[in-house]
Amino acid sequence: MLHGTSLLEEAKSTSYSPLREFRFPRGELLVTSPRSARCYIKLGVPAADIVAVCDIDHRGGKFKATRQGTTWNATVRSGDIASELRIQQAPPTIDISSLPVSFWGPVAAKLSSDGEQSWAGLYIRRAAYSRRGRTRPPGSHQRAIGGIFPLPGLARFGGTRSHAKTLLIVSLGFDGSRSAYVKAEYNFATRLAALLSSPGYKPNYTQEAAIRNGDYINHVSSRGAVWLSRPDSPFDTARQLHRIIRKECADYTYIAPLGTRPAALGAILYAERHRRSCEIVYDHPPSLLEPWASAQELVRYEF
Amino acid sequence: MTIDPSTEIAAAFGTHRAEWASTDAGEFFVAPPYQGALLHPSRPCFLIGGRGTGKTTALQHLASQGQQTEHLAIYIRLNKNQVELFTDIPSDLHSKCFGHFLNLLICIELLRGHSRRSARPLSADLFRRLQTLFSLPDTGSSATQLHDALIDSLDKMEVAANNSDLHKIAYSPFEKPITLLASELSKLSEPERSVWVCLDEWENLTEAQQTVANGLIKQSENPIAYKIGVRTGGIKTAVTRRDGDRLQHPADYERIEIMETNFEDFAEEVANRRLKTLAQTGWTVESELRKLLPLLPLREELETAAAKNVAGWREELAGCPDVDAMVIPTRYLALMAYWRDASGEDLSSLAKDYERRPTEWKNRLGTYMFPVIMWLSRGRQGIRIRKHYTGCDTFLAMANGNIRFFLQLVNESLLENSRDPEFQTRVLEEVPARRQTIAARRVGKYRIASMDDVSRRDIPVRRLALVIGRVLMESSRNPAGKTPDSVYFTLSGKPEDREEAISLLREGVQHQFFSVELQNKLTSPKEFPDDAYRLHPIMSAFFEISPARKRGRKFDAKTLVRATRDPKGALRQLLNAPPSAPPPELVLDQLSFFDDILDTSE
Repeated sequence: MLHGTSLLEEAKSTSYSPLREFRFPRGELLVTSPRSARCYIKLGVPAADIVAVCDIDHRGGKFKATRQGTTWNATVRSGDIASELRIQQAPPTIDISSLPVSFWGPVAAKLSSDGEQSWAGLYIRRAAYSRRGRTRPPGSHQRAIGGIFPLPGLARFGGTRSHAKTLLIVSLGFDGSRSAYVKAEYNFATRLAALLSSPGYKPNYTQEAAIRNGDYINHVSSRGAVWLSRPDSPFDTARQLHRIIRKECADYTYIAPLGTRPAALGAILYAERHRRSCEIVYDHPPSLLEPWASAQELVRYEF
Repeated sequence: MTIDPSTEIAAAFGTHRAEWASTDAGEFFVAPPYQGALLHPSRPCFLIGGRGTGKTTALQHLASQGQQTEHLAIYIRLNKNQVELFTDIPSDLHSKCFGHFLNLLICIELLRGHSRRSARPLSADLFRRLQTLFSLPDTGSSATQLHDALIDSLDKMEVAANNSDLHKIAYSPFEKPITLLASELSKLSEPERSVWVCLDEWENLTEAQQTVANGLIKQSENPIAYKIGVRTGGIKTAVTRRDGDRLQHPADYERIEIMETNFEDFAEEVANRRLKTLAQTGWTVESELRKLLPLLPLREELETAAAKNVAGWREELAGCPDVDAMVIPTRYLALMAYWRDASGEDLSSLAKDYERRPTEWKNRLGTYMFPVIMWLSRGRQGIRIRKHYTGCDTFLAMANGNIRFFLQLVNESLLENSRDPEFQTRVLEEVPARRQTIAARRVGKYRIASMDDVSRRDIPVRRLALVIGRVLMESSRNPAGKTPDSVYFTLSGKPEDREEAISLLREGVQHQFFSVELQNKLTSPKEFPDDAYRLHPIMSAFFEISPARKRGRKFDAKTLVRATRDPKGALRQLLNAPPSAPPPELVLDQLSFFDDILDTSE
């Protein structure tokens, strides 16, 4: 079975900064949201090469896709994701910043496990994270997020069986309440580990994330360890996950990718390759961030 | 390698959850008061309690004990990530799917449990029948092979669920394979043994799933008995799949409400057991928690707090011919001064009343000691501790039936003491009142700050808790026109507002921000009593309110709902501040930590 480090060997990443340096490879298809499609067109991506995805059902996996004026309904839960997205003829680039994890997570996992088609992930790195973006809209006490449920097509039943040693690894982001929530829901894990992005995109980001996730890190200190990984590298995340799981000798691992999108990509691909012993735990937060608001760099990961 | 003493303390007391202490669970385990009912060989039971009340510990212990005793017990946690998967499929398929899923899960664990403790072979007839029921290929005649075949079936179901192909798989008839396997496993020993299936986190099931699973309990009979762990309020339905058939208590199951059992003795025993464990590892430690956490009596605290003012009060009374101020104890003088502030009466007439009716004043002192201490601290800027929270009984009251909170209070107190520069390594001495209070306050702060057990979706509930805490804090310091020392509250206002506020409060109760009790007094002959809510007493030290069960008051439901959107406005309203007054300083002192939660300026 492939392990975490092999991801590093198979893939490469290319950074485009400033954004105008971005060159979209000819003959590829870009899968993104309709809103982001306009930004990519401005950066030189031909409109004909864009598959715009909208109306995504986070739980059921259904979505609507449009390309060159043709719209069709599809689902990420299909066994043949390439034909659902109509990307059989051209390698796809999946925009992991503009689309929700509940869409690109299953797509990436399926494209990766099929192994028949090369594909790429595209990440829009922001220059800053606004405070406003992290809070939910004011108003009623109606629940704004769906809570924990499986990413469509990536459910695992292994977690229900009894295991001697279970491990919860949380890739930490800026919202400490998310790690606290996942920890509370998975309090039965025998061991805990935290994956903290370091160095952050800015010098204070690592420290900020550590402070905001203080509660989780406090618990980790008594039952595990805090590990560091690069925030913009899915390969580094996968490699670190592999190291943590090997060190902890866990029978079954729950991975909560709450950090950056590249870290989530690494976690999802790692879990897909270890589907009998790993499971993704995701809390489906509302997407309030506008990826292009302070876009600084585009990073392309090739698989 | 040198181990930090605080790490050893945290290892003994900081491991609040049984799930975390995989190796020490047995060593730390203390039989809960309801153990007898739980161990009934053939009676299903629901073990009901809030988070941290020890459900998982009890069920896991039952399962691990089942490996050694005449019973066969298995433990299954109903994980959200798995059961949520079935919520998105058509209802006609749902019960078949979920029933098949339960069949597989329980049979896999039963076979696993059997393989661990017995080498006796299962009958060929059982293999044949299970293969038929589960539509399995020939699995041979070993329990391990059957176990593996069932895991394969579960994997196939996983793939089908992920690819929306659940309609294509062959379903086993609900409950039949479980009964069949349990009967066979029971007969393998002489006398026949009971088979206990512990299902934890029942609250994660949807109403439709509980309807399916209720059928297991309704139809269960010797030798199988289901032991269910469920959070308070987590039972969504008593209906079973058969039309009109409901689970009925006590006919169908035993209901164990953990909060109604003798928590105090149990919690103390748990803590003492952990002290003993520390002693066994070379620590010098008292054998009883009570000696480590001495109580600072309210009376003593009141006299200390009043010491600065007593000369002034005596001087005031010096001109009063009928009163000998020098013989009135300090605490009564403090009470009189407080009473003067509340009622406007002058001190000399109160002193005369005291001399006339000493018994009434004694009772009054018993009731008002807490608010008097708080009142005395008013205006003393920079004072770090206004009221002490000390002693085992206070901590038990603050834990309010939650063993995890209790151990957290003990752990923080011991750790706080170990930070003393004079702390002697591996010696646990009694924790001074000040350090106990700092620890108790910290635990209360964690409760809100860490958002343990809650998600960001519960920010409104936390806002509500902060606003109510602030109002109660203010009331406890200010006697005039308020109900001092009141911790319980009921709701007034329009039914629709009350309904909305109750839904918020119920959510808060689930996450242990609030606790609820049925009012024991009728509010009027025609009116049924409402539930009375209070802030969870674990936050008492943080908000400096009484952890004891004290008087109640009413809050306007509409204002409470407003607190979730506009906490400062709601606070102004609850404190009866005029609209023109500046916004109340909600973020004073320790509350400033929660700016993020209270900030609505988006």
